[in-house]
Amino acid sequence: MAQATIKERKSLSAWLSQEKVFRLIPFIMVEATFLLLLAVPFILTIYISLLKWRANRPFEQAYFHGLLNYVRVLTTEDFWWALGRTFYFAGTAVLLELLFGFLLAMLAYRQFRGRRIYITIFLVPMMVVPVVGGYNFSMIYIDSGPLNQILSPITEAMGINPRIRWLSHPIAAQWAIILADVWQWTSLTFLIFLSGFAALPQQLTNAARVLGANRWQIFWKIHFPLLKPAIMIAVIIRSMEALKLFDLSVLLTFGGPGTSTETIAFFLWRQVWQFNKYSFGAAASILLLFMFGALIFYGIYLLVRERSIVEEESMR
Amino acid sequence: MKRIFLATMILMGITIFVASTAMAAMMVHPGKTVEERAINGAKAYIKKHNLKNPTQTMLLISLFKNSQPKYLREWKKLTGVTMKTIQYGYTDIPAKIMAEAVAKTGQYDVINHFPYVIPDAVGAGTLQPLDAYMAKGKPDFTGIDSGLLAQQTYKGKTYWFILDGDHIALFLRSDIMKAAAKDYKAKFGKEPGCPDTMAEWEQMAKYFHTKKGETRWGMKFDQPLYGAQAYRSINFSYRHFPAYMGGLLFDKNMKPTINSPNGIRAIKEFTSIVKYMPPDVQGWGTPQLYPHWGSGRAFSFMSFPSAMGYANRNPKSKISGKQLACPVPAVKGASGKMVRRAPQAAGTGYMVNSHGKHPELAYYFIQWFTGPTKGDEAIADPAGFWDPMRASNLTNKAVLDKHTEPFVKMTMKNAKNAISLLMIEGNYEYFNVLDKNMAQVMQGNISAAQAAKNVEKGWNRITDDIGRKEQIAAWRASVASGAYIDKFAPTN
Amino acid sequence: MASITLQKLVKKFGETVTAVAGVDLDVSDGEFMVVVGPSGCGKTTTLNMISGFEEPTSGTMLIGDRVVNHLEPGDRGLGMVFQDLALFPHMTVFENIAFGLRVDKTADTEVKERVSKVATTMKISHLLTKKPAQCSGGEAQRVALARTIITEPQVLLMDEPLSSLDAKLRIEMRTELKRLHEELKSTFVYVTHDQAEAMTMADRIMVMESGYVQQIDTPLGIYRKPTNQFVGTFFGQPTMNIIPGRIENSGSSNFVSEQFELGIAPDSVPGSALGKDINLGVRSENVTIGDEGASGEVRLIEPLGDETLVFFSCGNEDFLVAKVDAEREFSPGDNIRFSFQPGGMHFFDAESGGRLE
Ligand SMILES: Nc1ncnc2c1ncn2[C@@H]1O[C@H](COP(=O)(O)OP(=O)(O)OP(=O)(O)O)[C@@H](O)[C@H]1O
Ligand SMILES: [Mg+2]
Repeated sequence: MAQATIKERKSLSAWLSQEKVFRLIPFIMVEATFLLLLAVPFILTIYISLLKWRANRPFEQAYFHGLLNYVRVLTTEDFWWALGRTFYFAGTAVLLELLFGFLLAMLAYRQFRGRRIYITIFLVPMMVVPVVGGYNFSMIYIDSGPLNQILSPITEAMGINPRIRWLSHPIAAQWAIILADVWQWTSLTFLIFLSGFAALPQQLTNAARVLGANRWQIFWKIHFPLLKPAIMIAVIIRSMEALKLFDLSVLLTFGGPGTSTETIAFFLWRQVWQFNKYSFGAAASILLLFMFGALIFYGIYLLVRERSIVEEESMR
Repeated sequence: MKRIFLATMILMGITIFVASTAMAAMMVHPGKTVEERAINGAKAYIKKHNLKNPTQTMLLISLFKNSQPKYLREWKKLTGVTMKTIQYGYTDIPAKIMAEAVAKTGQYDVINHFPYVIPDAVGAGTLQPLDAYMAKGKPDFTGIDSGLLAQQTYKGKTYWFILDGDHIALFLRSDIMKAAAKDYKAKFGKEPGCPDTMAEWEQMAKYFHTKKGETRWGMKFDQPLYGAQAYRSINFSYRHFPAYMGGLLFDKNMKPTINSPNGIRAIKEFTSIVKYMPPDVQGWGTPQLYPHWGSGRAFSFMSFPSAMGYANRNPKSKISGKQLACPVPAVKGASGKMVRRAPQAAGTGYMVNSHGKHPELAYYFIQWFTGPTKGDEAIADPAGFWDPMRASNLTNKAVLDKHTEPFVKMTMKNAKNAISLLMIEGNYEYFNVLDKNMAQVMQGNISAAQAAKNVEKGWNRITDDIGRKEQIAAWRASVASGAYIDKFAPTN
Repeated sequence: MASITLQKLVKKFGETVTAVAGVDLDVSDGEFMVVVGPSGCGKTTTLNMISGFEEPTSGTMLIGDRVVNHLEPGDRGLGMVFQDLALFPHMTVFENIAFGLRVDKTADTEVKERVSKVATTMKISHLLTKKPAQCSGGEAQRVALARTIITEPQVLLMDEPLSSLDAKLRIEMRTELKRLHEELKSTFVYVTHDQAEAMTMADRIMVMESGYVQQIDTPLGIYRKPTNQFVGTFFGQPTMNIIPGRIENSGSSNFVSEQFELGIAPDSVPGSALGKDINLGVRSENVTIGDEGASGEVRLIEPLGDETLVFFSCGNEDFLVAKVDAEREFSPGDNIRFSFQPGGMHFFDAESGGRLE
């Protein structure tokens, strides 16, 4: 018996001397912080979402309500409208951002005079504080403002009234928001694609060239497939952000005219901060978390699959 | 035995009566005026609680950041109380108030906002009832019309002191009417002037609506003249719509009245005049509407009353001195009678945070500042945005100088018809349902009848969510207070 | 006809870097030309100019009779194997090999036919459905070769194609490449910095240093008659012994260095070497250890199996090395005498390093 204890003690001290326990400490701390930062608000939100609580009543009067808030959210027509609108904005904006970012990066990745200046200029919009950007756009979009002035030769030629009511026509306002988002975030996709282009192995291009491929073939058969991970990254990062579109619809149109630019984030803001429907808002945000989460995880799954192919090759 | 008892009782009664009146007299702070009593009340409070350098904070609408400080400095000189301010845009303040309800920080002592935050804030327990302090300070509200005054109370208690007669009014272009007078008379049999009804306003809008480049009444129009402009965007429509309803929005049992012939008529009238308005109007708030009015591109403007002063004083204005101020035109309301209703579309006032450290001290400030003397001084303040609201304004030279006599006369007349916006919990959500449906009608997506149905459904849903019983009680109380002038139909 | 002619080919990067400083080279049709030299000497740059990835600063390049200076790489009728193989990671082995045909819009059936034929030659038929990442180093090497030769280029350029392989595989592949060269009968230009590779594979070798051509000759020519001290020391294992000194001619010839004096046959000394500072170069196999000559002390033994390297010192700590029969036994500390075989001495100008003859 005594022997066993000694043995135990010995192994314990051995274990201690291996410092495994100390090595674990940083992880424990990291995980604890992680839990605190993520889990606590998350659990709180779930808790609130199960209550019947409007802020126009003291919290002490809140009571459990089951899943009724979720039912309420799912049966609120405006929730679905806002969600649909958000997907429409995000989808269109991200698509355009990808397209423009890609084209710009394609132009800028080759060496040429003044390349740095161009790149810096392209990156400026991203560094503008959203509020400032939104404010600038509200000036640009005035119907006698600079944008319509610039467009007037085109619009007049097409027989459209050159005073496009960017912020007050229901459809134009949607495009005003999409275009402002595109202006602001094309920089980011540009940056992602630029580094994607820069990371393309020159030798692969050379190999294709020497095998007789023309520029177009090199682009479609070599560059484009190799840029897929960059494209996926851009899609995921931008979609995550674009689905949260809020600033622009507050700053430019405040959701209007009518509800034509009311995004889901705006809808939520209104439900919580204007209508004081805290628990309704909590339920809606949990639902959105799961919806968007599923989308994003699917995106990341695609990305990882795409990535592994390229990574394996470069490891070799 | 019996007589002795009786005499004792009488004696005691007299003693109690004398003592109680004396005590009551003692409880009221000394001072001849509302302001003096407020100052003395504050001093007494400071002394009683032995406060050193008392400091309080006001949650202030940022629009008043230039005009408010002067009065805060004065308050400090008079009482030694430092009143700091924290400023937010008016759209942000309701959320701050609700956050305070949860956090109970006591960070603000005085809250400056519109009356329709009261129901939610009271529900959440953030506002201090002022009645006990009023007993000591004896504020004076004479000369304030009942529709405005009723907004100060909610469910029978007082929470808010008004300092802004911000009920909507109609402005017309006097210069154009003068030029067109003959022509107009030939057509309509009377000279153009303040319209009696909404229908007449629309008729005028149609008549005066002029395309760019036309020459009419000897005037060449280098820019279009829109027949009308008004608030028709989300967050604003609801402030004007009650003028068109001409009656209560709910019956005694909180059943919406909008889905009725009268409601549908109101929606139609509210939306049909939009065709004479600038096409952007659905996206416009004050920052767009005021300059547009000042630029002379509209014939008429239904607005907050400050539009007139803006267009007279703004150096860029092209219509200075060319405005006629009119009360809100009448509609044929639910009762079948013609009624004029001028909703108090904004209207700032002052409240006391119940979580503050010294709510009573905060109260004395608002009594002082909104009182007849100080209040009128603020209303006359060239830097301020407080609009006339008290009968005394009609004779106050400074007020007349700032606002012009015709305007003050008109707005005081209009004030007789002033009504509150919906004073029940969740009002913002009720408002939003209305706004959204009006937008749908104006965009041609749904009919007025459909909108009426949607609003009814949406409002019922909110009422059920908040609690029908509580809402009915609050609604009845607010109707009883005279906030909407109209009362429930006796048949109900 | 797919000869390659380079005339005064120069490549400068910016103002300061001259990567290739005037190369003249004739590679005849079907020849196996190896370009060799230390790292940074301009081999890749030269090859890149031939392939068309770099534009020459000046000079002319011909493939056959055609000036190709301004032709696209794909139009020069050449194939290239890259140092890192540059297989397309996202395509299967089949598609990699087929790429050169696909871009020409070759019919599907023909593609299949030719790919399977090449795959058979390169012994990679079993890999066709795999991705490059799933191939071993040697397999990937063959895939890269297959991709290159499927278009039957007249000229095959290879930039250190074997450098990523391990030693054994490298030697196997050398033979493979030689065989391929025999079969294809196309012109090979093969870049390496490995002198052994150059010696074993080349018909002729071009040696470069710092952008300049040092010597163009057959492997044996280069080994036996290095044109300067650089070439002499670059080829051969172990490195040629270099001993600074002078030839004194007082009756019989005497090589006098700081460390030792050694009599040498007068007729093996070129006249131009007399009386000046020279570097005497002697390969280890030309050093005789025997009973006569200068004396030295054995310091290190390196048996190679059939032969043994004997490192010895004489006078100072600069070792000389001799290659002797494995039968002969030496141990460190042994005192020995050594001499140089008459035909095995190279005389280099001490200043210019040039060969004295
Ligand atoms: N794009 C370039 N810009 C500037 N200098 C370059 C460039 N490419 C090569 N050089 C320089 O030219 C010289 C020759 O380079 P090169 O790649 O031809 O050498 P190499 O003989 O192939 O060397 P290695 O055996 O290391 O591959 C080197 O000094 C190199 O630094
Ligand atoms: Mg190289």
